[in-house]
Amino acid sequence: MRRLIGIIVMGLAFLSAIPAAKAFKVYVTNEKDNTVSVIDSVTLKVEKSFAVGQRPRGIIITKDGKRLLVCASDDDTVQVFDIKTLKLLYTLPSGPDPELLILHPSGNPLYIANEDDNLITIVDLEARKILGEVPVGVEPEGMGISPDGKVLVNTSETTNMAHFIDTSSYEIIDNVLVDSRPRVAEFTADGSQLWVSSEIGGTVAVIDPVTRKIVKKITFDVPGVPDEALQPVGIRVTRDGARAFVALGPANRVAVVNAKTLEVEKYLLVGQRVWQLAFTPDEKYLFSTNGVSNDVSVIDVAKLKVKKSIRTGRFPWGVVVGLE
Amino acid sequence: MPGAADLGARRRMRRRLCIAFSAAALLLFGSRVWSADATDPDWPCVQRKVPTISAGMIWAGPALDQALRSTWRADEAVARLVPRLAARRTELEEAETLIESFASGLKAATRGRRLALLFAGVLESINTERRQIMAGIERYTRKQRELAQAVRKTRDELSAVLKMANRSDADKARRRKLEETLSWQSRIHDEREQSLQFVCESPVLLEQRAFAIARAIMNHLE
Repeated sequence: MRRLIGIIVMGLAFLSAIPAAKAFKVYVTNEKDNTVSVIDSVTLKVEKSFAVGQRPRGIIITKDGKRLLVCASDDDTVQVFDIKTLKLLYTLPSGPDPELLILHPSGNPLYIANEDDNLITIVDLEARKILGEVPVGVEPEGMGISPDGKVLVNTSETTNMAHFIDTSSYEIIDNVLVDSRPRVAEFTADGSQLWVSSEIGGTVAVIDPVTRKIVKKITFDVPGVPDEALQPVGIRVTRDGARAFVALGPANRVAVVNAKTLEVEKYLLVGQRVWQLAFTPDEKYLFSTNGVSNDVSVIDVAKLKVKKSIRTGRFPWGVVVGLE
Repeated sequence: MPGAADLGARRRMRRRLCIAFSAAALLLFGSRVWSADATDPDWPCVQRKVPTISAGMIWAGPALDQALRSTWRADEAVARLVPRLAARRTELEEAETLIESFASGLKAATRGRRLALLFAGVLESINTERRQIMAGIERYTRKQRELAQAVRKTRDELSAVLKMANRSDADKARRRKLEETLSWQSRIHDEREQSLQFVCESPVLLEQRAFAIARAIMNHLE
């Protein structure tokens, strides 16, 4: 009997030593429903959704993990929510039609692309005040920041440029011409490369941020899919710089790119009009927002397989993953 | 206090102004109906005209060769299931259950081919329905264009009558008739215009359905 109890105790101790799968929360803006869906990364189910401002698009979490920032594009504001209670705390001045936003690696300030006004607005998160504005090309959109926080890169949809902005002087220090309608700019974690997607051009330009020259333009080819449907938008690169994932819009696929050779390895069919992407912090999963099929696909990063698609609100657009 | 005659005159004036405004608005903005796609004057929708849903856009299973596309009807179980899956009245959950039940009875050796046959059938059926709807939208646009021309003609006739210095009783009756016609024509045009955005959603809804069914079939491929 004592032996049996011993075995049971040991068994329980062994079970408790197995780490439970880490649960993250995935926040998705639903552009047409004016809501944010919250998905649990373990159950892979929408556990709640809450109302936000009109036409929510870009979404990020503050560095301390306590606040959720949502671009309410048609309200011309950035809303700040408490991540625990999901209550609206206050709004930040954002300039008109905020679409995408990014934080300085130190956590402050916040940089916002104002699509209608050809500006980047710089906002102090603590003082809740506009620190400055940088005039850029027509229809600014993509925002990337170098890991050392010294260079902000903004893409302008109509001017077809990646603008390199000095974050201390707010001056444009260089412009790199890329293919038509650049949408997203993403630095690799080590800062050695900048990836810029061109939606209409159908390419991703990999740029050396030091020389500011294009190292390679990645093109895409999916059998049975017309070239004009291959529209790269969201980009994410793994922290080790081994792989990149590129959302291909109406081609309904995410391209898996070997980030060393810059060759496409695989295409994953996700959902209709795949737009933005976000990893879980452990990079186990990658979530894609699929605007037309009204769902989010979960990609198993190690297996390079689509694990599941989760129904959200209408026109899911932005996505961010947090701990709460 | 205004008399009954004054009130009547004001009402008539208001009505005329209203008709004039709506006719002017229709002629100014009505052209939206046939200018959404500059390359196709009959396509009125904001949504891009995509005549056919191609298999490659929504399918990552076995390649659909021509033989597969033309033989799905010969597979009795597939031919029976396709209309139910393609029909919009079949809820997606029910469609998923039907696909699951079909897939569970398949032999490993022919599983991929028969699931591909099923997809080929659903895609063909949805594309056929979608083409009919799109042809309907284009007919709708042409009718709207004819209606706008009719409004223009009535407005010109009314304008000519209103310019007459001395109007006979027959002219006055004609003016009333023309005002009434213009009012009805403008109203019909506007109502049809409002319905357009809902009509334009149909091809997109069918694309969504085709994608959802394709995904449900692909879930049983491995």
